[in-house]
Amino acid sequence: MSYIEVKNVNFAYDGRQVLRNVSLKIEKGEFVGIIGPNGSGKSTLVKVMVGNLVPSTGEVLYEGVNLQNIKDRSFISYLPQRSFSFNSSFPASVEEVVSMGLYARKGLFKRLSKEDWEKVYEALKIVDMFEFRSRLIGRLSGGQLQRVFIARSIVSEPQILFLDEPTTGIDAKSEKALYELLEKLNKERGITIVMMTHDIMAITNKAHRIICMTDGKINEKCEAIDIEKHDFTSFLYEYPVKKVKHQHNNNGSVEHV
Amino acid sequence: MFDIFSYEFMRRAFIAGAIIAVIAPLVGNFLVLRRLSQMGHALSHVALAGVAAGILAGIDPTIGSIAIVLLAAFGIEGLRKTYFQYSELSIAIIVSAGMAVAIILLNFARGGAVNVMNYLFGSIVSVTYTDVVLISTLGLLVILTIALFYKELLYITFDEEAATISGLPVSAINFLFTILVALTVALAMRIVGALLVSSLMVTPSAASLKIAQSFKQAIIYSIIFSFISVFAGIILSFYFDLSPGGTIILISLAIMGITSLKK
Repeated sequence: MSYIEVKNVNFAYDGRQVLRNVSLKIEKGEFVGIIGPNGSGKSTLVKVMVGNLVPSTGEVLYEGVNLQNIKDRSFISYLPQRSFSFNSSFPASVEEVVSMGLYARKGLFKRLSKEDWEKVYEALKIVDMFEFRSRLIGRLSGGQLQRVFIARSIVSEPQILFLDEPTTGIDAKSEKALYELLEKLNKERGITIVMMTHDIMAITNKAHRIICMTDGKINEKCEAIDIEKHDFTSFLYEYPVKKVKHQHNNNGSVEHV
Repeated sequence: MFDIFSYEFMRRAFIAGAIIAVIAPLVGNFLVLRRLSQMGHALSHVALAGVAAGILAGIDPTIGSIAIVLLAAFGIEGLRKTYFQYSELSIAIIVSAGMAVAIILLNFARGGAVNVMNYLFGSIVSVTYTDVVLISTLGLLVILTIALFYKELLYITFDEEAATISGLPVSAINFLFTILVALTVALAMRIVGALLVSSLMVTPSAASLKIAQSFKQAIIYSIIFSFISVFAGIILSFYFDLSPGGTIILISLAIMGITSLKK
């Protein structure tokens, strides 16, 4: 039994088929990248996997249990793409934003305890943003903001972290730091990471496995990072690339020609 | 100076004003940050229809306006879903509907014209004992509800999608919040008047946004600014025979002007 299993999932928005018989499996502790062009159904797939959307047919299973039958979903954390385009004049401090990650687990009518705030500070330390805890969220750079949202995602100690295009709009240095942080969360804390991205070059270096999507379907032709065999980037994005083998980690990557 | 407190009607006005000074910005902060500041404006027009209906039906106009505003608040939510690509359209439709019904009902309720003017422009001399009881009871209910759901309201206001995914009962809390907005509009209208009620919900919040370093601070500052505006407004309108609603809002705008000087 796989940790996460998506079985024959179909999903349509206003009669337009977005996911077509999607099936995939993810094991505990994996770092999986899901890539594909715009409109390929990546974001819809992640929303179905976290339970934000209910599939028209098919099911999403966590350790064999249908997600629709799981009431406490606090083991799943999801960082939507839209989080990064929030109202930057919102008067919330960094620590207030991170504490939001604890609200659902805390339950109605209950205030955060001293222990809860300790968890908030711990999460901020993990993402290296503790010293910014009192700063207004709108006064952070794109990279810092992204770290704060990741802290909000991990403060409730989830087992799985889904991220939708987390590298959008951030500079190369922040992107590198983000991947290091995700690797740390994956290796040291055992968090299973599923990341939707366009960022093929970076994800092929960091993820254990790549899943490709085109036209609402899983593209079986580009399984794993075995890009020596499959020129999936050209296939997916229809632009020429060359394959590069890295000496330091034996991973493959791709570069524009 | 303190002779102002020797009048029974002024004591009533201060008690009602104190409650309204807290609830208007408290609810207003969430409205502004959810980009729904026009909702208060729309509901205040509908509240007028409620006042006219109350006069015609022979019941307390504040109770009439609470009932009608609650209905309209849910009407806005329903229309927002129907015209989800033109969400501001729901506000325009409700303003029109509210004014149309108010004008027709007011035509029938000519005898209560003076009473209606008190609701339109606000009044401190006509705040009745029933008004004080209603404003205190329902106002405290609004404060208590926001205190109980503070963290959920904050998360939904900041990021509704993430709040939904985290498992918070977002639809139920949005429903509750709509009731709070409707109550606040209907109650605050008694002091500042229907035409300016949304200003008292919005301007203290706008002023606090410029200086707050956290959401908690934004709430506290907006309540302080609202308190200053309402109390100074009531006192000035008493001594200089000014319209309380207009005076309160002008003071509130002046505070907003001062805080907006901060870079």
